[in-house]
Amino acid sequence: MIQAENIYKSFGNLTVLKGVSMTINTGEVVVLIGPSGSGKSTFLRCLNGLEPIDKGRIVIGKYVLGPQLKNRRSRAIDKELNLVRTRLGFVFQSFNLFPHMTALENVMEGPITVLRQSKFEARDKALALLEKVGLADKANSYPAHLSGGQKQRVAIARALAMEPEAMLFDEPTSALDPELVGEVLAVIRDLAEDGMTMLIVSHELSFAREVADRVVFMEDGRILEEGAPTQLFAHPKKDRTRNFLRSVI
Amino acid sequence: MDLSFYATYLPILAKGALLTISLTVLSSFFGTILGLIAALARISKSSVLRKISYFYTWAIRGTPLLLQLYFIYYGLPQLGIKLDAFPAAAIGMSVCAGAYISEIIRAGIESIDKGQMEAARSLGMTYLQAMRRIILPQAYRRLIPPMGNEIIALMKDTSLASTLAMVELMRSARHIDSATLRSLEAYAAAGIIYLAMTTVLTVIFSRIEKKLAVYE
Repeated sequence: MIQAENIYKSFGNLTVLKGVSMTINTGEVVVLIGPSGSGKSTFLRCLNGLEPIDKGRIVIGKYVLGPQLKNRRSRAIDKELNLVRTRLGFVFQSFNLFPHMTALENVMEGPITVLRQSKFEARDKALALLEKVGLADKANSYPAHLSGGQKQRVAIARALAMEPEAMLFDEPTSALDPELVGEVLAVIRDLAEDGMTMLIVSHELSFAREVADRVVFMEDGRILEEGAPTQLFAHPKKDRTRNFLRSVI
Repeated sequence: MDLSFYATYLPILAKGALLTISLTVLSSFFGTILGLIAALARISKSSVLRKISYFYTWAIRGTPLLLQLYFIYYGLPQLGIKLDAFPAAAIGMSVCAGAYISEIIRAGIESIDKGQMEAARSLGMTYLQAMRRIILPQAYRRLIPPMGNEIIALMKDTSLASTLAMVELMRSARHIDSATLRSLEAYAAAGIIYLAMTTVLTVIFSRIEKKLAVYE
């Protein structure tokens, strides 16, 4: 489903990704862990073209993204990138809901503007999605009147409305008060049970243990170790992984 | 003060005020269009567009409006471009307003969190769709107070068009003054009409601002 090959990415003199390769199969849930600054979020942002890569190749279904994205003036590349993005749902750490739209309008926006669906069709689907994330009663609330956990659940519904083939989560609970983390994780857990393909950057190790098919540990722009959660958490092969796990728990 | 004076001369002032209003409406409208284009050019990825836009605001904001009006009305005929007073004034004021409005719009757009553009793009929107649906509607609200100031300033600046032989409100007052030598009455009346018009603008803009505040 998603295949990243030898991805390099620098910001100025700082090389953030130093040859990252990863394959995510359809229906697989992969949790990406690692210390801050290790390049996890950057990797995720590269996958849907929010950051153009310097070297390597990303294959998403039939689409291929490469360093050519740096040439942003090309209309053809921009168009292809938009097609890739409609296939991948992206959930941000800071929600990024559209503040001038109600929860319902936020969820309807993609299907109407990008998929050219009718308002009625988009509305029905959006209401069903808000129901799914437990926020049917907040459909007409503006983001300013929602809690962090509610905002993030609307953001997940907004991404799901595009009917993506996979979902990318960039630290979806890091900006939340501790008591609101559970409601967001519950939604992600439901998605895992539905068989959604997901790549989740997270610091919630117990959650990773529970939902992940595979946990990937990243440090200093490289993947150091990966494996099933039971194996990686209980018997890490590398000292660095062990030190990280000890420092987090 | 002589009240019968007003009965005679108010129609003349009203006619002048009408011209002031049409100049203000036209130059706010075209100034906003020019300003939006210049603002989008200024933040675009094309360095040529950025430079053109920068030059435009630099040249217009760095010279007096009066000079710009003279340049168009008295200067351009030498190049074979001869304009009547009204179009010359309307074009000059639109171009001038556009330069100031472009800076207002640019600041408004840049004040929107960049996560908004990213969220819009991550849904698969094009740059223009994201601008139209997500960024501009949010910037719009923040633009209202400075745009109100700009349009009020514009309305007062139309008095400069009186120098192009345009009989707008200011010039009407001067005509009355020189015909009757009732300076106090003439300018007091014109001043009250200006105040009435700017007050209406202030009220309109604060209404719009309140209406747009619902989601905050």
